[in-house]
Amino acid sequence: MTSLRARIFVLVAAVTLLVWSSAAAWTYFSTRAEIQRVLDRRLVEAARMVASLSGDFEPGAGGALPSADRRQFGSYSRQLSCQIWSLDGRLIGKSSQAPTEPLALSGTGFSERLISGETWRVYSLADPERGIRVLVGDNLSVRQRLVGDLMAGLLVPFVAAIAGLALLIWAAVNRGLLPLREVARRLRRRDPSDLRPLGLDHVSRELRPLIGAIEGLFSRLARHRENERHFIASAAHELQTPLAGLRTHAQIALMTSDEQIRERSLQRMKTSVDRTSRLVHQLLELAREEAAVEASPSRWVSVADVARGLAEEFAPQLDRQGVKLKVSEAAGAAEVLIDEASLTLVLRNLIDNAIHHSPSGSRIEIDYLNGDEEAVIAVLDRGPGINAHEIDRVKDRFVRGSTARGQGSGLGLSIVELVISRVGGRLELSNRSQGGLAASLILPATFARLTEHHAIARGKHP
Amino acid sequence: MRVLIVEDDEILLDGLKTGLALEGFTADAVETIEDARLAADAVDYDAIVLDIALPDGSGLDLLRSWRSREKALPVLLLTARNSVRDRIEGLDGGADDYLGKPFDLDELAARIRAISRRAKGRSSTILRWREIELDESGREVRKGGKSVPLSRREFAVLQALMEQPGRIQSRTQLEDRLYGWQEEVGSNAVEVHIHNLRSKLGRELIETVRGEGYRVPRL
Repeated sequence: MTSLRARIFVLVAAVTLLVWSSAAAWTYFSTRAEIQRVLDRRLVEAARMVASLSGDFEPGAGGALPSADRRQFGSYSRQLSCQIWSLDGRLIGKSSQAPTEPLALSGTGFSERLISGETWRVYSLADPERGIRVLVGDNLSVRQRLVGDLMAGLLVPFVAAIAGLALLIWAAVNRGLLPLREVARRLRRRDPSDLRPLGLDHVSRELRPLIGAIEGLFSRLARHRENERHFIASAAHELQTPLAGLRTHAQIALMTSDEQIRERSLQRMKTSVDRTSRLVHQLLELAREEAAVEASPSRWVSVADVARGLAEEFAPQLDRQGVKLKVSEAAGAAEVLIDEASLTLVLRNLIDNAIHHSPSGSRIEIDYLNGDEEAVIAVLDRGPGINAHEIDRVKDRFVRGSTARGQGSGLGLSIVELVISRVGGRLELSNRSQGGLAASLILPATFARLTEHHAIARGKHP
Repeated sequence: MRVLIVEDDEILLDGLKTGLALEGFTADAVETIEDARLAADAVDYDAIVLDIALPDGSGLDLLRSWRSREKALPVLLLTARNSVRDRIEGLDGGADDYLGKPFDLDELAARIRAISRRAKGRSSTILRWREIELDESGREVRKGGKSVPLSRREFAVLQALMEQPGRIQSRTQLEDRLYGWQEEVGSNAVEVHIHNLRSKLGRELIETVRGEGYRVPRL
């Protein structure tokens, strides 16, 4: 049932109906029992009265007994029937409505008997002194009618009360749910940009968890939106400077008559466009990675394969800077459970950074370490490293270390961190003791392994 | 006019330096706050173009530290942070002007000229000495209403002298205004420029004060 109101109503109504029905049933049975008791007592009294009077009658006269009950009982008139039998089995007298058949066969006390289709409840009283038996009986159907009429009289107010109660319950439930409607009204009227708390001061205790959850969601959304706003502002901001450079050089090229200056400005424009497109490319990459749906990769990817692809990709830059890229024996045998595109993206950014900071003639190494709980893929360079006080900040978006050489967008490490965190890993940066930076991708051990070939090789050459 | 540019983006810095040189300025370029501090202490700049986000700190902090030391040199903030709040913060921090990136080179040059002019207490863009007029914004010198073509450096020497008639400017002071750090200064370069100016505009315009320097006589 989707409507809370209907649900509460049905529950309350059902419970009420159950209680009422139980009360009605109890009333029915107790009233019936009471009526039986009262009528039985009347039978006893009537029998005694008849017995005490019967001396005045001539036995065997068969005359009618006076019917005293007629007026008194209304529609239940002629309810009592009376027979007087001699102890030797002769009918001495009877009331006018009484059957001629004996109402009870023998014995004394209460008994019931079916006579010509009607059940009689009879009280028998034997008087050995006078030699008579007095039988006073009630027609049971009349008794039932009495109980039935009584119940019918109760039923009308009962049904009316049920209907009235249903209306009142419905109204009460509606009223009880007012705070909920108030919350709904406020939420409905709310501007999408308004993520402040709902401002409901006296909220019902039962609604508090819900309101709390909604407001919690609001504040998370607000934080998320603030981050996004900040990101967009930063992105726009980051684009301004290269655009200013481009525009200035364009203006110089247009303005100058000096061929050399013009050529140089055009060359600078080209560089600037390359750099700006790199920034835009990384912005898109970051946006794509943020929107990416988490999928659990099912295939082991060889670090060596990815590194080989990247070495080809970076070959011109590596050559230009006289830097070598080396994959360690362990890294060459390592496999990770990350989809290939992500691993490529992560390593590309780290290698790119390493190349930018590597002095000529140095070596960039990709290494692998396997621990009990974590595995590490590290990209190691011999560059200037990162100043200790900046090392925590450089992973933030658009933050470049002061040792950076003005090339980067400040987004590379943010991208790496985002991607690697999706597989439960993290990025750690540290300065190497011998100089240079170690960028370590730390993965849960279950996401990385060494191939068997290597494990055997390791066994042979420890 | 000699200006200092403080900007960490290599390409933009190069553009500013080249572009402002084309606009007739002598421009020095530095990339960090530290270098800017040293440069401003060493050279008496006519104006400073200052970026806010610099690798070793905020340009605003540098500006505030200058202002707290009563260093009165004209500063134009050149920054990508261009919201109203940023501009107010910059101007209240002591900046003489504020220009958002990207910008027009001519506008930047005009604004630099304007803040430097205001710093010298002038309102007109034209300097006059008898029938000689030097139009800063049009970068033109006229004698008796007729335009006289001058080289960039001749113009700069004349401008320096005409800004404060009667004040003697030494050869070194003039060289400082004419040449940036990396530029080679010929041993008699200033004398050559003075000689050319005299032959183009008349001998009486520039006086030589022996052993001290040159001046445009007060009228």
